[in-house]
Formats: sequence, structure tokens, C-alpha cells
Amino acid sequence: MNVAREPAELAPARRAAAIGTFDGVHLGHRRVVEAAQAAGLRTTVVTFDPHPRAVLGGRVELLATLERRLELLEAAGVDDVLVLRFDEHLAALEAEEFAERMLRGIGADVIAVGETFRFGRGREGNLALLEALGFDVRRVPLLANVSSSRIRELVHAGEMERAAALLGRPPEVEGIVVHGDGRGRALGFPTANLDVPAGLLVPPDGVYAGWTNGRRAAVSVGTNPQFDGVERRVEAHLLDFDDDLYDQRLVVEVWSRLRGQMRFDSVDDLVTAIGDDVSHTREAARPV
Amino acid sequence: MPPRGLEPAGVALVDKPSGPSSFAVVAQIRRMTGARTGHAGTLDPFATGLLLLLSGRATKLASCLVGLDKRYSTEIDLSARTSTGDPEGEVVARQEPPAAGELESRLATLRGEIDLPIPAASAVKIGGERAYKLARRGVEVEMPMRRSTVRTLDVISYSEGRVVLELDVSSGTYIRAIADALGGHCVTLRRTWVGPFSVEDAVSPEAFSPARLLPEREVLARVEAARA
Repeated sequence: MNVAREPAELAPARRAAAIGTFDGVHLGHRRVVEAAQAAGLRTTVVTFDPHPRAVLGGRVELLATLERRLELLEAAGVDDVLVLRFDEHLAALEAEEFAERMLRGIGADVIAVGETFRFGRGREGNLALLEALGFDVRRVPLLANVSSSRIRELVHAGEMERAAALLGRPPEVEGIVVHGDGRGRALGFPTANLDVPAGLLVPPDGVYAGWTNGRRAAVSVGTNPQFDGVERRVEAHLLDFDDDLYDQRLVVEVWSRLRGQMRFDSVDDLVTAIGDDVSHTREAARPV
Repeated sequence: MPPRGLEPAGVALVDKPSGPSSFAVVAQIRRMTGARTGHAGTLDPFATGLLLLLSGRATKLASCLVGLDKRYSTEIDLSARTSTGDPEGEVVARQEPPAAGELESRLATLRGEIDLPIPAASAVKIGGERAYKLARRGVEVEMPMRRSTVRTLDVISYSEGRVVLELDVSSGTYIRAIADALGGHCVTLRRTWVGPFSVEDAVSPEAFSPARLLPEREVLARVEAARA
């Protein structure tokens, strides 16, 4: 899969373009991609970074990093991706000019978009305009309740299984493994401490069963109340694994919520609780 | 790959037959002209009537043609609702057609500014599968609402559970949604006007020739005269 930042970077080809921000590449997004793929041309995703709503003044916690979005699009069989930098200039582009430069300019004949897609200055461009401009528009009806916003709400509520059903895979959190306090190792449960990129959605404080690096993992999100921590952290204890993951990027699937964070009467009680977390993680089922 | 041709330029008035999608008609005309071709407003495959096709440089008129009001005539079967509001969907409910008085009170709620759900698209294929079939398999399709203005909504005839209506509506109004709101589904749908353009001046796709293209200047003048 080729990734371009400018229309001119893409090789000339007749293309079917799927357009959208596609944060998290959920089931609805995949239908839009499939509609483009059904056209039998070179499947090209036109996407935006940063998230348009964040640039237009809203606050958006992303379901996935751009890097992850690109991995998921590649896994979905997309040929090329055009990542357009969403800034005031792009937001101010007239709808027709956007269509000419970013869609006609890459050779898109077919355009697949969600039914309610709007584009261009003031969100004035719609599917009817694309049709009038001579594109073959594949309108993709929305799937009930499947939206990035809805999935964010479910993750916020700790409802990983329901979020997974809409995503088509478990929710994830990712980051680079950094050095922690070594406290987990001292308790007998070494953890990989993740440096999570700013702006990425993290599940609420608690302990989760999950999966990363080919292993089941007990995942802790929170401030380590037992040790009066302040900084919010994401740590993963990989089961049956005792190696060093420093500086590696880990994508952690978060399967199900096991319990909230709490302060125990003693460190021994904490160790017992973590032991339970590990056995629950061993038995947990991957949703979806 | 060179861009598609900007000539011949102009707007074609084509009377779409029932069967092909709007895009199939566009493709048919494009094969004849070799020009980039768009259309100002989709007609569902089962529908007939006026399609405005924008050829070559005239695709630049897109933004001033997509918002034009439309006039339709439709025959609605009030004894059954379908998944798509048209004959292509599956019957989802059957009932006794309403008495004339009851029909009139239902129609009264559909005049003026109204919010209607965008109906499940019969024409759309997703991953090779029709949208309403996805709905049938339990992949529930939730349709967003759309605001429409229904300027006139007249009954031409009503007998044996079938009503023929004539409607003047704002751009983007789904007649299938109106049929559904009445408790029935469209059996036939014909678009007779788009803004100042009448289907009486249209030709069948087969009879089209580039000589039939209205020049951009004339199209703009007629649109502006209609606005005034």
C-alpha cells in the first residue's frame, strides 16, 4: 500500500476513492472501503489528519493513531492512501475545488462515501454535487449505531465487548514501551509501561484482560493508587513472557474489563488481586 | 491518464426509462461523447423522467443545478409498505388502504417543511450487496433524517388503494420516504420538472446526440430567470 501526502505523489491511475476520516476503521468505514473495492478500480482511501473536528475546535479522542489507521486500511486491502493534512487551508477550500484537486486530481472516477458525507468550505459539498461533477458516487447507508463517537462512548464506559462489536475487533491502546518504576517486577509481575500518544483514547482506570505481542496480557490503566501515584499510566503484564520490550511500539487489544483500580489493605492483598487478574486474563475470551 | 474531455460542453435533458440506474444513463451518454459527464439529481432505477446531464465543461454548473426544485408524479400503493418505499424492496407490512378522508389528513401532515428519514437505498450496492438485503440479514440500517420542503402535494386520483400524486418538492426530497410516511410504497415515479426544465423537452438516451446539448449560457439564463 502506498501512502501519499499530496495528490501529485500518487501514480496516474483510474481510481475508486473512499473518502472519510475513518478513525478506528470500524465496520461502517469498512463498508465504505468495500463499496470502493467493488468498483474494480485501484482502491484509494482519501483521509484526513489531524481529525477535522479537532481542527475545527472540537475535542476528539482518537480510537487509533494515524499509523494504526494506515495498518488497518492496508489489512482491508486498500491499494493507496492519500493523507490530506487538515488545516485551515483545506477547511477553506471550496467544495468544487476540493473535488477537482483531491479527487479528479488523483484520477478518481468512482467515489464511495457515507450517506451523510459533507466536504469543502462550510461543509457545502455533498453527494449530489459529486454526481453533478461527473463522479460515479456509491452512497453507503449508515449502519445503525456504528459511529466513531458511539464507540468512544462505549470505551469510556468500559464496555469493551460492545465497542468491539461495532469496531469489528477489540478496542486497542498503543504506545512505545518506556522504563517504569520497576514496581511490577518487584511484585513478581513485570509490566511494559506504555507511553501513549497524546490525544489517543484510553479506557477508564481499571484492570483489563487483553492481548499484545502475541501473548495474553493483564492491562492496568490508572495512577497506581497503592503507591500514591499521580500520573495516569497504561501498563501491560504479558503472560508467560519475560523479555525486554523497551522502545518497541506495542498495540494492546483490550478485551474486557476485570475490575476497577483500588487501594488494598496491604501489598500482599494487591499481589493476590493481581494473581486473580492474571488467571481471569488467562480465561478471557477475545470479543468478536 | 489524461482527464476526460471538456468537450462537447452543455446540458442534456434526458428522459430516463425504468430499469437502468442514473449512472448507467450517464455512462451511456459518456460513451457517445467521450466527455466527462455528471448528472444533477439521481433517479432510482425503477423511476423514469427527467435527468439533467452535465457534459464536459458544463459540469462546472454543478453547484447551481444540484439544488433545483423538482416536480414528480407518482402512483402509491397504500396497501403495503416495503423496505425501500419502492417496488424493489420486500413487503414489510400490509394493511387496508385508508378511506379518502383519512388519506387527506395524512397528506396534510406532509405539506410544508417536514423531516423524513432517508429511505434504505434500493439502488445502492455495498460490497456487491444491495443495501436493503443487508437490512434483511439483520445488519440494521439506520437512516438519518432529512429536512424537505413539500410545496404542493395534490391528489390526481384515488381508487382501489392506489393514489396518484403530483408533488413540487425541494431538492433532496425522497418521494419514497413520502410514500412510506403515507403507509404505502411507490409503484411508479416520474420526474416531470427540474427547476425550469421540463421532461417534455427531453429525449430518450438512445435519441440523444451532442447537438441536443443546451449551451451553458442558455442554461444559466433559464435558471436565473426562474429564480427571479
